[in-house]
Amino acid sequence: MVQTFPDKVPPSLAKFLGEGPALIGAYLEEQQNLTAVERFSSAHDLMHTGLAGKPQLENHYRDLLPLAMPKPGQQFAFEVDLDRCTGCKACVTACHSLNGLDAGETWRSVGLIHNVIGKPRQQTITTACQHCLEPACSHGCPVKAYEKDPVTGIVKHLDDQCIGCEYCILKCPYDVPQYHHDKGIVRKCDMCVGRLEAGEAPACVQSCPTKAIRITIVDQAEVRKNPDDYTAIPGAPDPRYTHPTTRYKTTRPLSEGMEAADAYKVRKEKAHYPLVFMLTLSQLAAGFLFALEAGTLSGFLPRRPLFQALGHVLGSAVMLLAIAVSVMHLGRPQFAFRAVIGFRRSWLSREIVAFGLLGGLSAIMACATVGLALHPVPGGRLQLLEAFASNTGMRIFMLLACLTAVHASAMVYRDTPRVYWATRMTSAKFLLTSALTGLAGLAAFIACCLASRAFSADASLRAVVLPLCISLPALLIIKLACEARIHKHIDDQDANPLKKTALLLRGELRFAHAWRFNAGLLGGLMLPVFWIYRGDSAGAVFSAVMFAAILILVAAGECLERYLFFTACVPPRMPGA
Amino acid sequence: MSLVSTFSDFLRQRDGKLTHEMILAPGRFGLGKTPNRLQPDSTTSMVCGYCSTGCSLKIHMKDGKAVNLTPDPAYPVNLGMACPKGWEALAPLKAGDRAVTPLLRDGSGNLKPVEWDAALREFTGRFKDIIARHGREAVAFLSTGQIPTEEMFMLGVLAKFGMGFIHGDANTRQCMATSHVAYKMSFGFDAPPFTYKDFEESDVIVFLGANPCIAHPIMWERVMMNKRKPEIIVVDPRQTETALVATRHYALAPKSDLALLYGLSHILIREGWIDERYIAEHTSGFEEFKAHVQTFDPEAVGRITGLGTEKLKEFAALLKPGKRVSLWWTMGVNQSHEGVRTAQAVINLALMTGNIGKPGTGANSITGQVNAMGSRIFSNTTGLPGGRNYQDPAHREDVARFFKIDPAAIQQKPGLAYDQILSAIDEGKIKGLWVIATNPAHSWINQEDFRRVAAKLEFLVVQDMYHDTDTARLAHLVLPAAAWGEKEGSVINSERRIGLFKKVSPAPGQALADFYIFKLMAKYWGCETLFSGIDTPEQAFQAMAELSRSRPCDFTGISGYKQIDSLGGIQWPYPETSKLPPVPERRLFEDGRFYHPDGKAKFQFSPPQPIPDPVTEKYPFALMTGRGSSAQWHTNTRTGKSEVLRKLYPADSLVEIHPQDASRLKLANGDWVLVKSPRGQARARASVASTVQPGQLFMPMHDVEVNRLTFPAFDPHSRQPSYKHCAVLVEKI
Repeated sequence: MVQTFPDKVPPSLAKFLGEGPALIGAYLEEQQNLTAVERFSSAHDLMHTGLAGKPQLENHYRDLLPLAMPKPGQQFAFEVDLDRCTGCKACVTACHSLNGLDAGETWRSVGLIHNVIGKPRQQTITTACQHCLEPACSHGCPVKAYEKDPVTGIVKHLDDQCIGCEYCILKCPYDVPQYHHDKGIVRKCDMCVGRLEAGEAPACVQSCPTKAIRITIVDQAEVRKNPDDYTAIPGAPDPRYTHPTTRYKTTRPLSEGMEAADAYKVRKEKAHYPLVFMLTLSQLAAGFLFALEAGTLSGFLPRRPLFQALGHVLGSAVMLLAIAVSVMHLGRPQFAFRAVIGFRRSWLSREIVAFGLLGGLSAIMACATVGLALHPVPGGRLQLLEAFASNTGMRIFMLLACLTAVHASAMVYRDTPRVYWATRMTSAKFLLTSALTGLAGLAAFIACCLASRAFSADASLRAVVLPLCISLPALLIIKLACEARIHKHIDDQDANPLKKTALLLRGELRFAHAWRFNAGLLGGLMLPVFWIYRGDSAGAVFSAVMFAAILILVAAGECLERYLFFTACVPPRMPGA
Repeated sequence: MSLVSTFSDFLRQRDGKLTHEMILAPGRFGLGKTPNRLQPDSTTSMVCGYCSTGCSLKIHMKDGKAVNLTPDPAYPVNLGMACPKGWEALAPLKAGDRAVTPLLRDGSGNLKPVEWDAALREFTGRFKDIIARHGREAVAFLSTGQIPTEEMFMLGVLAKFGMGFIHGDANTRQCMATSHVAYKMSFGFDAPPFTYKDFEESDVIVFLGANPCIAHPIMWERVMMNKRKPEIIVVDPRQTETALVATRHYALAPKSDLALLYGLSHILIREGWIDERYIAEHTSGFEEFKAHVQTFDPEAVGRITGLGTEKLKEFAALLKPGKRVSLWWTMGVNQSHEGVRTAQAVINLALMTGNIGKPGTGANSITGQVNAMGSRIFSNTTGLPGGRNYQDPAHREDVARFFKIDPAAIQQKPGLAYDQILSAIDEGKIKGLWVIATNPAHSWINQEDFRRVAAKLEFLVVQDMYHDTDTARLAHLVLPAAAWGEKEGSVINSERRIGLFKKVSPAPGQALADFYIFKLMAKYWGCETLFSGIDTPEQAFQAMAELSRSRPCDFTGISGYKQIDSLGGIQWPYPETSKLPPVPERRLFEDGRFYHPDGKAKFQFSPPQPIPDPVTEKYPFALMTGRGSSAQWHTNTRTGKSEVLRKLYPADSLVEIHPQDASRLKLANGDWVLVKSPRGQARARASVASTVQPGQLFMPMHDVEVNRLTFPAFDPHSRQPSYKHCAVLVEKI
């Protein structure tokens, strides 16, 4: 019957006495009273109790899952039917909701390729983790937080093992691992392995309205042999780096002339400030210690205990500071010690070990030289100290440790799929930074020593300053010339990553780029030339101030260079929107 | 040993808190696995609050509150699927800019929180004062297609029968007025004849000015389920996402659609590809129509549309009788200076080929907003509740009797349309405006018009879930409204299916459901007797059902919300006289009987009119606007609040431009440009693509700057604004 109104007035309204404010109160209370469950859900849930636990969508996705487990030499893979994908992006949101990801966290993305000229074509490309045969994320991880399942081939991330170094993000060509700022770790797609184990479809598969995504079994040898699916997608990263397994099917070959819709988009990348400072400081310290040991060994620098002690304390302090700064980069620094376990495969692990050793060694040297300076009479219990402090072998070992650590730093970046980094130029830059800042540091240290009463009469020390000062402009010019080489790519015809780097340096990053050169030229060229021109006549204090300014400017210039090293490096990616 | 294993666990930890957070719990309630953290203790389903597809979302409830959702597999509309907006429907409820208390502009011009009591006194006092000084025609309301029918109904009854408003309109004027008027004139009632099953049962599916891949992805799902290997034809100047996957795309010149449809009719008639028997038995006015299309010969029409004679003939041949042809249109047709005639020209095609009332056929308007259909029947704006007419004394009598009011108090013609309300404000005739759940300061055509006239208002009230929409920022009084998911009610989708909204999430602060706000206003105004017996939305539903009795939209057979819930929505009509439970998917006119007194459908037509804002030498580009992506809705007030959705659409506004034009203007992809019309300018990045033709531009409508450009032209019958064509120029910045 329609005329009667079946639902009773809610009890909270029944007490309404007829006054406006009372009614407001009643409605505000009623507004907070959630009744949907008691009114509707029982009926709803009852409807499906017969299916107890059986997912209602099973019929939708049953034929989108493989019938058996992979055999040896096979693995699970996503298969995308591009003909059926129209770019609704439900897969992205379903993955987000069904995996309970946090606000803004997404593990799948949908990009677009199109052609600019000719008959219009466009194709959306949905991408998640490629569950690669050679997962770069896993190979780079310093703590072995990734493992590739031997049966399913799924590349799984061990969230509790992760220290949040983000190196996998730099390693993955597909932008798959996502950093979770609050948790301090990365997370990524695991092909909904928990669902697959229960015979359910991954979130993206079960949510696609047009059934464009399925799980299939691929032969790993076939994937390795035949990377065509990828090379066919314009703008996709070179599949030979990781051998991604997702299969892209289409009956309409992606025609010549198609390109990623974001092919021309340039945007600066994350700066990683702790790494910017860590790389500059660690290279300064390594360069300084290297110069100190080499200068001492070759007789350019005095073996005077006070000088050696001060030098080693300074060098070691900067080195330890650099290490401390680097730990700040980690999302979970308390687990930094785990970084040793990836030594066999990860250059990041090797870098951490190398700098750990160098830091320890430099600290021992500092202690030893200080001990020697305080107790200048050798013998007795201080023999061990002396053995350390003046042992040629130790100094040679220090030289090697410095080189190894800087080399490991460079390899961390060279061992990525980012073309701006993956060349010997990265090693050259890091070594030149070490030399330039190390020598500037040494010059400033010596100039300060000479300004103090203890060293003011030391002629041999004074004689070192001029050659050091002359070396700075030479090194700086080589360094800037190396850096400037990227600009030749500005005229490249295609929108390759190096061209984009050059565009970024001239566009969004032009101020940082200009100041990098200004700081370098002022600190590394103009002030040294000015000092040489004035000669030593201006007095020791003036020289100390000058060289301190030179060091600060040179180091600032190198910090800016390292900022640009990160922000202007364009990573490979699947086509974006 | 254990020490070693502890240390080894510490060095390589495979399990722990972070791992557990991501574990999936075994599914209950037919859901499949769900995140452990968000495991529901019950579920309930409700219709999504965005578009007119009317998908059902299964809300995952924990301790009585919504924590997550998945599309409902048991609902006949979406069959377990949803677009990104649906998946993210709960996110906008948590936004930081929700209106949580009434806000009143103080002496220094700032909006300051006030109590509901003060806000309601201000509301009634100011509107009563304006009416006392300037009369009933000095106030108006602008409503929405986004709230449940019950609330539209309450608003219309309260404003017009209680407060004495004459004028009230809604943003449905911007999306659906054309279809409403077209159907009403052609069929005798505003009755979209189809059911979504028709997508699956067609042999030829024609989309006119519709882009379902992006705008209605779940309808496209149904197209993809069609096993008849259908011919899919897209008629659109732009190579849309749908055009790219269609079997044929006719890229006609902008706004040449009416000529095209008359040209097709001409060929069909000339070739005898028509259903003469159906025309004779079920239609009127065909002879006049035949004479009218006589002049639309293929040569002329081929030239006007830019398609050429051959393509036109090829297109017409696809519509030959013998195949199930369904014709679907959306905003490309509706938002036009001659949208009603264009929609009717589509209806005419279906009528003369007999493609109506049978599976896989129909002249089908895909609606825009979730409850535009509810608005069309019950909002008491353009017509009286139940799809009645103000002009009809018997209809006024019916409604007056129901509400126990004097029939003479009911206006005898509809009030002003949206654009006319704004003109009246401009002329100083309307002094007080009440805006409910819509954002004209962003969406109105030639937006500056709205902003300019809004400044002339003595009193502007905005009732919205957010306190900082473009329009709320202009208001004198902001009333905090509960949103979708925080209140109950019913909505009607494109295929006439009545579905439910439910209260699954607590409203923030003092936000109240519009239903309660209207009840309070009635109380404070002193007209609460209008709503005696209507204390809950469901009671309002029963009142509406009663008002639908014996009308074409009769749903007196629906016993209440529980029945709607348990049956997966119920399409109207479903009169009390129906003996059988409703069939899940029903279409209209299977008996060939229409709603005009003679039972026949009417051929409606008139000659195409020139484009109101043609391109000129100075403004050489035709700008079209439309949906940008499946992750955006209207003015982005809600979709912009989901971090996930924000990732799914471009951060910057885009303008699509043809490569030839781009190279002439020396524009590269991604360059910033200024698009200018005599009315304003908009900044956007160039998206160089041959999806538009030379001389055309396309901009998504979601960026606030776009409607600074649009030209205020209106369909003479429906007063719907023409968003799809204005003349602009482009400059590189």
